[in-house]
Amino acid sequence: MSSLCLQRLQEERKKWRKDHPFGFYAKPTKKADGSMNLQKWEAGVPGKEGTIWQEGVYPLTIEYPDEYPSKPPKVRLPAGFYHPNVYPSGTICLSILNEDQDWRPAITLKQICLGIQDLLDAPNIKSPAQEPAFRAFSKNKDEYKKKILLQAKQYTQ
Amino acid sequence: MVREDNLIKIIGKDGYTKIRQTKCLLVGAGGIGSELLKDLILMEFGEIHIVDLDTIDLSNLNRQFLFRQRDIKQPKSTTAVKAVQNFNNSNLIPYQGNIMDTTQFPLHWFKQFNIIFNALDNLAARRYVNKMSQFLSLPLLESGTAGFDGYIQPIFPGKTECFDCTKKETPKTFPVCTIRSTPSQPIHCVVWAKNFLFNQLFADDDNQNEDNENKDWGTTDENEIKRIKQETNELQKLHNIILEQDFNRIPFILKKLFIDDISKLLLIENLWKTRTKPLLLDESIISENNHDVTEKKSLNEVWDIKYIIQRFIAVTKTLSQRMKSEGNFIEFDKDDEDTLEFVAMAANIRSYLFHIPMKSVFDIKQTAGNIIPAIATTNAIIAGLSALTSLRVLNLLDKYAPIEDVTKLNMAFTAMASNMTTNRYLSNPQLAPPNCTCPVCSQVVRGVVQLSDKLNEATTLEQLINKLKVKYGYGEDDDVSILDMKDQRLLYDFDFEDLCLRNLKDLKFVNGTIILFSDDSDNDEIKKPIELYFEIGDNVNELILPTLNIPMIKPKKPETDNEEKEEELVPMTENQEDEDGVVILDENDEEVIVEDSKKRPRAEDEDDLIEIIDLPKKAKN
Repeated sequence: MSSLCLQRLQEERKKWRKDHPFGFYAKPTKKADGSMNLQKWEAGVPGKEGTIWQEGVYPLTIEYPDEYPSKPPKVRLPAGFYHPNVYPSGTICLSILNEDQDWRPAITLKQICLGIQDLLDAPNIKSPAQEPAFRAFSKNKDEYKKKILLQAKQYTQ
Repeated sequence: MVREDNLIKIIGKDGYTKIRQTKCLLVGAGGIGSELLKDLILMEFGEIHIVDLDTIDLSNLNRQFLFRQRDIKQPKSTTAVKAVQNFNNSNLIPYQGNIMDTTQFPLHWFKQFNIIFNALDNLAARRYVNKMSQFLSLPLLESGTAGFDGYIQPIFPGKTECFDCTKKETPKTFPVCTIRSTPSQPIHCVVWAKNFLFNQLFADDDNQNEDNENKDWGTTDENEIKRIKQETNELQKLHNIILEQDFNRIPFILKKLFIDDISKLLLIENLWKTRTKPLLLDESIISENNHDVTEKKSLNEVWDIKYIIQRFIAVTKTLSQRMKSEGNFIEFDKDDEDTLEFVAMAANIRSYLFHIPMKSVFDIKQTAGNIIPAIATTNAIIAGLSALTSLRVLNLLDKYAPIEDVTKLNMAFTAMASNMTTNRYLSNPQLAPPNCTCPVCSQVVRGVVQLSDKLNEATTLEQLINKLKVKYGYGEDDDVSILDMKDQRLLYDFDFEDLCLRNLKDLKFVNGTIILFSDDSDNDEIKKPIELYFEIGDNVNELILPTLNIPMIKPKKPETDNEEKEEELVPMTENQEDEDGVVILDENDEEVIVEDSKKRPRAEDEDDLIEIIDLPKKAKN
């Protein structure tokens, strides 16, 4: 791993500690020896107020590759998460997390978390990533809404 | 002696005396290393230490001219030294070992040299040697080749750009979506076949035994859970066919992958609005070919789909027969013909269905192995340049070309690598000063800590922090952080004090541990971070911190400057429009990385007629 990756991650941690949006959390995981693994984080993104997502705080795992910040981190929701743009494994397909698209080394953890919060209630119908949520969202909004509300309950804190 | 006389004519008597007293380190005895060793010997360097951790492989012999068939499996370093004896007049000291091993090669071992030559083939080792040269202010001659391209770069720590001052190219990754649902280039299909399908069938890990009953499915809908389980089961079924050597059911694998899964994709209409729909594999081709084939076609040709299906079935059979004796785990290896053929066949079938040009097995070997041919001539040119440039680095040509300023020295890039000119082979721009944002050479102050074994065990992290604070002028309550750069972990910061009372030895401080001690305060000006190398041993009885001059710097831009940009960015969080799509083939969709760079912490490649060498993206001018 490059020195840049570690130094930047420590910077991210510092920034987040000083300033992060209300209701969100993010912290590095611990290694077996008790030290902190800056390359793997756990975070939580609350649903936006006034949306069907509002009751939940949705857990993310964020993994930074050795080539970060040249390459974006991989961000996942729990496997099987119900959302049109989330793969069955939980991987989120989002343009700012894609090296070939809008990822830029300057993008911060805060921006990623806010981006995901945005995506929750504003799915992109042009790029479905799972069948059930996508189908319900485009064909049966009532069912979709019901599922989302149920899921939100599962992630209340 | 003629050789000596000629040298004296060029560098003079004093120069000759000096070169006879010069001790150099050559890291790597492979492609460039073999050439360079010969060059350095002919230049009569007094002492040359050669480090290489590798042994000789058949495929090295076409260009690593010091080695012969009988040397296969012998260590490169010692064999190279034996091979040069009949023309050697230098003191040669070989080591078989990893240059990053701090037990064998601690920092003080590097101190004995006047110059280091890198003849490496991987980023990790290059970065490491670069850092050692920075710690010791030792000149480093960096070099590399890839195919017809190559470069050399002299590095004077603190005075010219270091290896990490420019961004280095890393392996390309593809979005999951492209690989799993909407391939558009042959490489996408190769990555699918190699990184996804092959691993699913032949290298299935322990995931299958996961506790299905208590697993968090992310939903409470029973139908939903059923569907996810079914997907997982479907893949498990394919894996079982392999494990049970149920050869009659191999066509079932074809059917699942190339008919059922693609049918599912076709159901997602959105994907195909702007793309051509993939074909489904014709079931009759599968069934009519379910028998053994004896005919062998050339690996350089693109085969027809019927033959490909035959070979797919045949090679799947072979691999599943191998499974048992290989512990139910076969790893893809471009030199393992069966694994290569499997990947080539699967990739080609997929390409065929997605209207992508098919490729020959040979072409796919290059793509899948991520390989660039290694060319002896390029190695010889680059090694020659490296050797010649060392005369200037050591200032032995001062009669003709005195050096007032080391940034007046040149690096060299082949035209293709530098992108600067197409009408000559080499460009040789002057060296640049250090990049002021370089995290390795510009953003830190360096020093060496000496610590006795006893105190390593008797000093707590907290005590170390306090000593560092006192020594480097921090206030008692200033916020600091400690990163372990060797093991890549955070040991301490404002929010993380769990490890404070543990002793250093317990925290795995060893000889060669490198920590970064940073000022984490919110002030407008902070102290420059300090990178400290720990020499731990019985040479001392105490803890000696180096005396360093720590300048104040402006902290990295606070994000308030970016606030506006952030707001702009957020509404843009849309999924990709063209590139991505749905796949519901299974649930292990990962980003797919073409080359597994993590797998190569070694100092030398197990290189073949082909060798992967990292090359900086562009020459800077």
